[in-house]
Amino acid sequence: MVIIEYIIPRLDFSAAGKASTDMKHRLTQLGLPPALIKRVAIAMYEAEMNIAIHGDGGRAEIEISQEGITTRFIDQGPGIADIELAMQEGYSTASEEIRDMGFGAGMGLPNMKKNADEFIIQSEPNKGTTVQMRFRLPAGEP
Amino acid sequence: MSFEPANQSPNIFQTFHSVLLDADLCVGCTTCIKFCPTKAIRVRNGKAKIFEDRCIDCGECIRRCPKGAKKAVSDPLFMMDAYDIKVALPAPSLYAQFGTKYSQSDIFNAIHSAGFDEVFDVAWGALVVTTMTRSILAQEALRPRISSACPVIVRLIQQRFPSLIPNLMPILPPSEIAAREARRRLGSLSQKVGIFFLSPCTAKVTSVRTPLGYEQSAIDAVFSFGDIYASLKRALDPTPSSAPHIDAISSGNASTHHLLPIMNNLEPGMGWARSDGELDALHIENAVSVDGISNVIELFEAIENGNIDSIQYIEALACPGGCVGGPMAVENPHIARSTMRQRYQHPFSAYPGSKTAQDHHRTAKERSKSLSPESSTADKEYLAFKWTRPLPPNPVLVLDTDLSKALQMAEKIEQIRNRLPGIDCGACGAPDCDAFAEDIVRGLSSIEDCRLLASPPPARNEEENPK
Repeated sequence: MVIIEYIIPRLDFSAAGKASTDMKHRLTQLGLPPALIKRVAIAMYEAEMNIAIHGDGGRAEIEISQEGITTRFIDQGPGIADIELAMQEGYSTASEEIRDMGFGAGMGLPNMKKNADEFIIQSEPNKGTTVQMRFRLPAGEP
Repeated sequence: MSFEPANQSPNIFQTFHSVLLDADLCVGCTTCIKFCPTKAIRVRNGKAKIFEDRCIDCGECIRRCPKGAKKAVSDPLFMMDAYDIKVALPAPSLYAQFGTKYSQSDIFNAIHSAGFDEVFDVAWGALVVTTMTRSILAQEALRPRISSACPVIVRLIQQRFPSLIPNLMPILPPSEIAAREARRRLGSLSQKVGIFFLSPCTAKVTSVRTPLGYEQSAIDAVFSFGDIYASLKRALDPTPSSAPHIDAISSGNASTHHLLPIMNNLEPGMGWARSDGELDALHIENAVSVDGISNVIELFEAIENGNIDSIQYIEALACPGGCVGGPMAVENPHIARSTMRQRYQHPFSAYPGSKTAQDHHRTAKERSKSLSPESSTADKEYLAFKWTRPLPPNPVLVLDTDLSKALQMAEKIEQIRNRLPGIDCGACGAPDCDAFAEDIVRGLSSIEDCRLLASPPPARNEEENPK
């Protein structure tokens, strides 16, 4: 099993995307199908942005094995009070300033869920949020 | 001086490269390995070594090498001698190699004087590509679409961005379209016709031998601007002693009776010499032009991450400033850009000039209707100019085709990576610690090659050594 960790800095939008770009290179080395790699990249990029914008920074843990790719995005930010609401397309608590920069459209979480084969979100106000996404590899499919 | 391809490993992708190392000049300085966009160069035993299966012929190392040890290889001019009718296909950027005191007609005539019987502008092929691009954008929903005119970009996508292969426009490059059209028009001749592309581009030399998206090129040889520059310059500026000689050649060519028509209204195609030129011709909303290969890579990463939407079309050119910045161009790319901008604010026909130029103009008027891609719009006419075979991804980065083996290798790479200093010094001969770790696991390098691990620099302790 390959285990890789990334640190995601707070509000650093130029650094956000570095983890997904690096992961893309690694998955290309494994010879995985481009369409799968693209799904992972999109989902990871959204998660990185979320942590940078909302989560006060955090980290990503990625595990790759024959069974699949597991990504965990962990922050100790403000947490999410109403997860169901947060999962709705277009819902966002991003500040005016962040929206002005073209982010915070409320599509992040729904987009992650759409691209991942399995999506689990756990959050507690004032404690932080963990998003776990899994992607099946072609060989690992039944 | 000896040129040798550094790595002769067989691969299905490319058997020829137009970027080669002159080992005599290489001092093993590691400059090139840092700038290679596909990490295709290593320094071994004090000399650079190109991994041929990774090289995309972008020419970045030619631009960066402080010793001039990287060479662009094009075809020798004597290849013309084997043909009865010699046809020149000038890339639009050729017209930027000479200042605006020369008209397009002057340069056109100089090409004839340099020994070509016929001249057919690649700009015509560019006009065809623009028409086809509009048609495909209207018929297909996939966005963003990416221009396939720059062969370096096509090879970059095959290797590093395979998920973007469907986004590439399945259209032949302008030079190939022009070559096929010229050959078609001269098809009834019994003499042997040679088609010669005059090019600033190393990657297009390679494309003629290893086409991307089609079987065989209609181009017989690619000549670099550098190789034909002197003869063009002599024709443009005849010295008193050389003038009669030039005249003799011109008349010998029967230059007013060319078989291929002279075209006007080529400006939109001529603009392709520089970045933005393709978009100026295409004239659609939400289109992006990006030049310089590192800028292109940055944009493609962003597209794959899904954080760029609403872009319809991308003109991506590997060379800084576009084709005028090609490794085989002669004029400074910034001057060349400026020349192009000035030159094509005026139509071709605005240059009065010699009798020959007037003849050109008349012929152009007569024939332009039947030739202009814009006026003969039927899409099916252009089917011949579409790609005829699918573009495969280039799996050179894949560690092993067996996933479990690839995973084991990835695990080892990660372990080694964590041991390495991570300062990407290049002293081992690899461009960075990641590439070095990968080389070790692939069996191309050994961990002893890391100079810092072998003898770590003495720890600096300022407190113990006060000044």
